[in-house]
Amino acid sequence: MKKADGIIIAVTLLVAVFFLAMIWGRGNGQTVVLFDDETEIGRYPLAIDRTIRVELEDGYNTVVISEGTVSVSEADCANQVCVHTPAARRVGDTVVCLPHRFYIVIK
Amino acid sequence: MNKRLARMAMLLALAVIMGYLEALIPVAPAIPGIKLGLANFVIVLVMYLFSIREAAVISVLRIILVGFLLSNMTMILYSFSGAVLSLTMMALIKRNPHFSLYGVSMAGGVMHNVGQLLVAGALMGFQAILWYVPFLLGAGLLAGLLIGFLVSISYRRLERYILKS
Repeated sequence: MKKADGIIIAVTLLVAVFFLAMIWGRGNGQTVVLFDDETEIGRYPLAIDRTIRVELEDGYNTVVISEGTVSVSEADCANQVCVHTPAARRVGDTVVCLPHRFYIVIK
Repeated sequence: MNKRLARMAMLLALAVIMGYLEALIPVAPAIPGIKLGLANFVIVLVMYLFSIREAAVISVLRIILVGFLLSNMTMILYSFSGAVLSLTMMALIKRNPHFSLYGVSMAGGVMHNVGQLLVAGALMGFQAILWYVPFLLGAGLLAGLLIGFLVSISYRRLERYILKS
């Protein structure tokens, strides 16, 4: 290992930290947008608490908006990944239910 | 010429096997794409024992072989993007005497992942992969460091046999 090799480590770590800052720096979102297989099926403000039961071709997902976050509380999909996904609140965050081809994006 | 061909074929086989072996050992299953890059061990070793040209030939042939044997077109795209960026960067850095084998190998590891991230971003949207970027950069660095160590101990044992012949 030579001194110059440190430049590669430093540059890489710097870029990594820049990306981490970018991820953490994203502000909280305003709107919850629901998609069924790429088609938008609903839009709700993140600020108003509510529970939405989304009926899809292959089953249902219960979407809960609460205290500025959105999550899926219940679904009859096979893998339950959406139910276990942490609540989303920042712009660009997503909750995805692949078996139902259903996803939520925060805007 | 024949000797060189045989040597290249052997090294190519080694690179293919390394990549295959690695698929059997998950390093960090939670984050897709994180792996040691054992195939890159062969590439970096060839780069130092022989030349960048030979390393590039083995790298490209390996991707085509493994791609058609074990995976699909998308995976070939990922591999190619990673390999081209990583080989180019390693070739540039190797020419600069201020850098050691570790620098070359780390740059290769990082750029390999950058190539994969670019393809993933182009296919799925950059918003979707943002989370992976810092992890894959760090992982590439670590993998490069480890590969650098493996190459340096192997190089010392191999050079007197290979460079003499």
